[in-house]
Amino acid sequence: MLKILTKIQNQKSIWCVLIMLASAAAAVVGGFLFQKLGFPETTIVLLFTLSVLLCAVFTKGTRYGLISVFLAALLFNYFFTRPYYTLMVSDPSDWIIFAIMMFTAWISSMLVSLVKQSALNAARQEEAVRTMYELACSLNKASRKEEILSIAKKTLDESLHTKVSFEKEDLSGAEQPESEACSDQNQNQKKNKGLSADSIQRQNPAENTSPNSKASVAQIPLLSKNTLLGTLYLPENILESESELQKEIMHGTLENTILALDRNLAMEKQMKSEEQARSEQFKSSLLRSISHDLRTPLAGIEGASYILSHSKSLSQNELEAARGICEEADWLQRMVENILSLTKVQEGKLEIKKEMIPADELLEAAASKAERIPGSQRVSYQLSDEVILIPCDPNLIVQMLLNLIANSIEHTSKNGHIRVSVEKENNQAIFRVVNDGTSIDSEDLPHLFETFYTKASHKADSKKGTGLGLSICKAIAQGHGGSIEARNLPDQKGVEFLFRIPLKQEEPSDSEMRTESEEKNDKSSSENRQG
Amino acid sequence: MTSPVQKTDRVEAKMAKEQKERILIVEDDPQIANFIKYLLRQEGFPYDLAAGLKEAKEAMAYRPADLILLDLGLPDGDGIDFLKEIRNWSEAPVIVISARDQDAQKVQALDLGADDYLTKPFSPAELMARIRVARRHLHKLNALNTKSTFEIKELKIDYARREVFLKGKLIHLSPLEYRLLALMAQNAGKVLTTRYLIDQLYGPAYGDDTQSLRQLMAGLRRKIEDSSIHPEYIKTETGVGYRLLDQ
Repeated sequence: MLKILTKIQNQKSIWCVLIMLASAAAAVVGGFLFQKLGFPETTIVLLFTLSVLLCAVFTKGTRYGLISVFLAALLFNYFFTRPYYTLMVSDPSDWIIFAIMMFTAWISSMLVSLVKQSALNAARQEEAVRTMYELACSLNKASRKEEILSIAKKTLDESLHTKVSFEKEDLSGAEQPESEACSDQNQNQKKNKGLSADSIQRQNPAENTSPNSKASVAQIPLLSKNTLLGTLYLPENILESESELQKEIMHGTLENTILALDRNLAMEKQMKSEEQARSEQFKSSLLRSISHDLRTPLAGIEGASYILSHSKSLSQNELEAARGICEEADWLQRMVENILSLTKVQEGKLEIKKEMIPADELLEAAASKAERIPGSQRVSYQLSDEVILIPCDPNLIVQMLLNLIANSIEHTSKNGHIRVSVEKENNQAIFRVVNDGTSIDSEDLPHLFETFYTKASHKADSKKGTGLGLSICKAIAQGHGGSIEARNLPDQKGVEFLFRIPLKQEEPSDSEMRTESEEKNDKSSSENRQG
Repeated sequence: MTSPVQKTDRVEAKMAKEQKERILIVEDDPQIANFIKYLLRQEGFPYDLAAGLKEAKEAMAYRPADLILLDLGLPDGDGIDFLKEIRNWSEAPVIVISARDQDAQKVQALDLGADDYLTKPFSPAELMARIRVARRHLHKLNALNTKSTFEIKELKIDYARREVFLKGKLIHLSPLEYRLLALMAQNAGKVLTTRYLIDQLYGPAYGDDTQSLRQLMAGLRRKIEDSSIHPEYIKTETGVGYRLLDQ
């Protein structure tokens, strides 16, 4: 239907004239035939009306229909009204016949062309809807960006009857591997081919950036949430000559394409992050199994070197070497424990089994573990007057304290001093590890708790800086709903590490279980506060 | 730092030569087993080695040991089963050896009658200290502890009068604190799990209410210790329980 209608719409004027003349001629011939057969005059009038109708149906627009109305009237007058073969009218009733014939023919030809126009529009709408539907279907099946763009290109080529081209935007930027860049190049070449068919000279892809200089090419950016996904290039004259419907199709196509590209982008991102997560998991499980296997031999090394360092038959140098092995093995063990905790944190497996633990016990455990670190005699501990019960996993808090203490011992001189304290403030337990060592560079300060961050300036003394310990501290503090921070004390007086662990709101039943000493402590501490 | 340890080691070694307790090592890891063997040989202890549950049972049946070092993770079963079985007929002290992330098993073993525990990796000093504690316990068991007072360092408990003296001065304890300290003193040297202490002090209904016990313990320690961080008397065994040091 659409094909016939559009054919009619697009036929040349000469054809229309021929059709008009032919229908008129056919009416004249039919009229003579009817006359010979002795049919009444009215049948001839109907025949002419029919010829006008046919002319209106098979020619474009309303113009030829109207002309054929007059033509029919003239011919009827000339051939079939007395006096014959003149344009004279003798019988006044013939005038009435003319008028009625012309009106009938005129109205019907107008109606016909209206019907024709609306049928054409309906057919085009239908075609547009079908195009969009097919596009949406095929875009849904497409999985790659190139596929999406080629489908969109095909649709636009067909509906606009011209050649267009797309250029996809390289969204991943510099991270994109080389192969991608190559395919991009291919894309450009493809586009060149496509445009050269339109006899537009664009040899250099670099010119893409300034298509304004080429008046014949219009570019339409494909934008999604302010991200440029690609650009559509099409001959500019198309834009001007397009009908509303074609514009609608084009916009619909572009919208669908953008949606598809968007979805494609999101999918790629998701796949990438899934892959990343998988490789992260693989890495951390590898790290964990290695660390796990390191534990036992390390215990063996430590044990054997301990025995050696207490042997009576070794020289002083040998004893010192054995003690060195012992210390290093101990350091390695702490490192292995840290790695194990880190892998747990990274896998989101750091399960925190909270218990109410007095701060006393936490510092006690940290102090007794710290005793194995050379230089631990420089550490002093300070408890608050009040017993603070902290909801926490004691092993993790002790590991965090141990990391901070070991870190402070490493970064202070042999005469340096480290102070570890805990106090209650605003329903939080605040642990402080303060040393009087050198200040931390201001550029290092914000990165201190990042994984594997050591120092911007690699100094010779940072021999044991894995940057692991502090990132674990951060993970542990956050796991308890707390926070950790480091700051330099004013006047280069040292560095303070501070972490907060929130305390639960004390329930009334707890106070019943409190001992007298506790109450006394409370009293004394409240007195202190008042004083 | 290490010299006092050495001195006591030598004293113990002398003691060992006279007593010669037989020690059974139940351990499947050859490295750890070698390490323990070496230490025991140095200290002059006779020992048997079992690499699995079956071997351990055979060894105990053939020649009962006076003291057992028991690894919990064995290739042919759980060390805890072995512990349950021998507790039916043997009072030999059992020192459990476990990996660092086996707190729960450790506590279970202690509640089932193990006397002490060691966490891998452990130092020779730790192992020998545990063996010393276990041996003293063994001798005390034999001598039957019916004394009416308990004395260690500068802490003195008079059971009859329910009074506690620190450096000769009477200190005031709440009734619950006194019961806790007395309980610890009667098991001096041994690790008491939080669960055991709660059962004894509050009754089994309190179950997992560790908070009250910890609060009570913190209060008690502040009364008898100069510093809770470097305690002289009651030491925390993180994740397991408490131990009153008997030396």
